[in-house]
Amino acid sequence: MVLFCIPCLVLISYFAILSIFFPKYRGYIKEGWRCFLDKIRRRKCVASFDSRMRHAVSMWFSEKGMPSIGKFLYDERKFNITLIVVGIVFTTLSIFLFILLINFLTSPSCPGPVCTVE
Amino acid sequence: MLNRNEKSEKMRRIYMDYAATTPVDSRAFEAMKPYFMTNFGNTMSLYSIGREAKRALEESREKVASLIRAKKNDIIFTGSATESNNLALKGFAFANKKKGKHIIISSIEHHCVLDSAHWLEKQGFEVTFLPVDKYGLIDPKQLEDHIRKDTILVSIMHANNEIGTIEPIKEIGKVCHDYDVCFHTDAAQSFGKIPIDVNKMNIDMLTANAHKMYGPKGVGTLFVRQGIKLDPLLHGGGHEFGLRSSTVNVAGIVGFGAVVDIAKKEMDSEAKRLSKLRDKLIEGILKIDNSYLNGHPTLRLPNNTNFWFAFIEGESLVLHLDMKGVAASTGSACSSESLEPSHVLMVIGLKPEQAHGSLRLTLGKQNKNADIDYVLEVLPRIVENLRKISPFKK
Repeated sequence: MVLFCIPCLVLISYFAILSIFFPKYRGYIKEGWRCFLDKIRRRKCVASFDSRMRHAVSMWFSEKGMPSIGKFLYDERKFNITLIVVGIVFTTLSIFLFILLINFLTSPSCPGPVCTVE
Repeated sequence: MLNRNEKSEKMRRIYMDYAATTPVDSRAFEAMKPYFMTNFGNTMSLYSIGREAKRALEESREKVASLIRAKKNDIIFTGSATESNNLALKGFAFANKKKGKHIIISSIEHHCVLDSAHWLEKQGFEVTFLPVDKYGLIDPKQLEDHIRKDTILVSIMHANNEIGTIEPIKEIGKVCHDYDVCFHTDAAQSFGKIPIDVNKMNIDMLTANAHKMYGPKGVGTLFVRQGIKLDPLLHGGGHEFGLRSSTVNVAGIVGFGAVVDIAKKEMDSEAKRLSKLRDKLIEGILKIDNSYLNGHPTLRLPNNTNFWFAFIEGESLVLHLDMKGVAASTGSACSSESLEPSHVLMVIGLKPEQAHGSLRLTLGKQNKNADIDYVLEVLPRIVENLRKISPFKK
């Protein structure tokens, strides 16, 4: 159940980052959040947000001379799986970087993520 | 990629789904305004604002009647064309069941007629769904062959909402008249767009609504020729000659009357203008490879175009056109799990994958030559790019 909601969360994160620099993308965060709530309730997204994003992404690749990637992402199932993988990788990377940052701030001499305090 | 969508906020928005609904004409809106807050009376009340509401109601009734050359008291106002169609079919069937139980409708009727007919089947009526040709046309001769002694009602829409084909209503009405069978037509798409004369066309009942002709939503009408018996669907206060009890939507009906007045003056010139735009759009789109026109090439509404494109999903076309600022519709209705193709397109002979690739563009008052040029510029590129990523194209 949670897995089906991950694509929406990934899209929300993407637009959240974009909207820091470009306020015009803020509307998509709201739409993405509504879609996320619809998915949790096992409903189709009311404004077809996920469908629109899938079409936009696949068409973008097609227009940039990568029709095979566009074709791959055009399939709803493959698009969702791709976003779930991206979401998991992004989350793992974020956690790893966060730990690195904490370690750097607390003990700057520590070279890696895990350091022993002598 | 999404910059284009953002830019569409500044980009002009082109609406090409006038068959679905239309913006309210400002003149109609001005006419309606007093009936919301000043002349808000109930038409059944005896005091002055009630009498004014009643007067406005009757004035609008006369206007609607005059557009189709009907008598004023043969016009009933309802809440929508769907309600009018339900009343026409169910109301007539139950009021006349002693005369017979056979009803004939076309197989490309709007769902409110089809579903009403299916419901009547469950109530013990027999319904014949007349086939149509590849253009969606009914053959009056075929209709005649299906009329039986127990046939009480024939319901054939004047113009199809999806493919725009205009049926030979005059010939169909004559057949019904010759066999003394009541003839109902759903004119929701044609009312106010092309001339209708209920007497010359032998129409006994006619459905129309306001929101398809720049009027407000929530108001429809049913013409019922004097002498036709109907059982009402709504019982209560006895409004609308006892056929539609419910406090009357005066403001909406005044708006309806106002747009009828406008249609009387502008219908012919607007039909000519839209026909030219429609023909230019059809000519331009058919230049795209593997694109085909649905519906009759000439016997079609002045504002309707409907195409199917090979190897493409209509939903994708609509979404991408929306990203470019163009509002259109497809012949597929989304259900929760599956994409169902339009029953109209299937009946005229399209395969499911062809029906899925359909696009309907319907024009209206706000559309100009520049809008057609813009669509002809963006649509071929969208079709080309969609075919590159389409799972249907090997």
